[in-house]
Amino acid sequence: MENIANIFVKSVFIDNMIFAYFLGMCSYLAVSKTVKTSFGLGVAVAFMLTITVPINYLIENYLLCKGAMTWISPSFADVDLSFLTFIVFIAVVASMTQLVEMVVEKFSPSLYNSLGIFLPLIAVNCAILGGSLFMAERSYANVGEAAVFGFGSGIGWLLAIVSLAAIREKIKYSKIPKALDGLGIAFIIVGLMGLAFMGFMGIKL
Amino acid sequence: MSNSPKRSLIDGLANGLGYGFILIVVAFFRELLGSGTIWNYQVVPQAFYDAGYMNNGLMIMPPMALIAVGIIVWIQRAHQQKKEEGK
Repeated sequence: MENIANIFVKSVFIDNMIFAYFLGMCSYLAVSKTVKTSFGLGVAVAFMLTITVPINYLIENYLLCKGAMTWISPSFADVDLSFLTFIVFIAVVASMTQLVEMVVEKFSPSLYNSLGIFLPLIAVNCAILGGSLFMAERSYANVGEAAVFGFGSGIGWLLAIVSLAAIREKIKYSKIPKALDGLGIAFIIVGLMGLAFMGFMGIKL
Repeated sequence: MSNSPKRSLIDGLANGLGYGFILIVVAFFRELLGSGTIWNYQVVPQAFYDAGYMNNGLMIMPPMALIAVGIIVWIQRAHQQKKEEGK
């Protein structure tokens, strides 16, 4: 139980997808204009990470690793399909994105319209594929830990995009040089937030 | 599909070159200010360090890349604006 809580806190704050690894930056900067749409995208990304990371964990550990298929038959002990890891991970992420896109289109057309091209772009969002690859690299003990890691990373991403959107909504009322307004100031804000999040680095849980 | 494969090829190539150009500009300033080197050659003379100049360790940190890109966006947009006003 303590381990699970550690993984959660670590993935939200210390290994935050945005501020520690700079993954998923494109949609992060492009969609964070208002809190409402950014919250929608954040929930979609968190949901995708929560689903795809445990699915990919199961696929990797029961199909792709060397000797992973011994549960089917002992004669498969030498089979090593790990060269397929990227293709399978991307296929899982893309098919899940299709699913999420259909659900969002059906239940929230306004969110679907405001997200525009960035909803299908979740399929190649580096944060989501990155989550699966970090999961493979860190070799979590069981599927529960992998799911908590995926959920925590998603919550970290949601936290990051909502806080940036909140700052950008407030900063509309400040006097910024006209050329810096919009994208330029967003980059600088993200840089400063990244510097602040570096304070979490080195905390060992 | 309104563009031919040839035009798409040029589009893709130019996008990649633009990306690489910004990458090199950001890396140039970060390396120069952060470690005083360019392409691993020492460019800041030893006399500067003797006189009390120090490398800016902050530039090495990853978030400074974002701030550098932000400043590039600022310069580019200011340039663009001036051009449009001149018309």
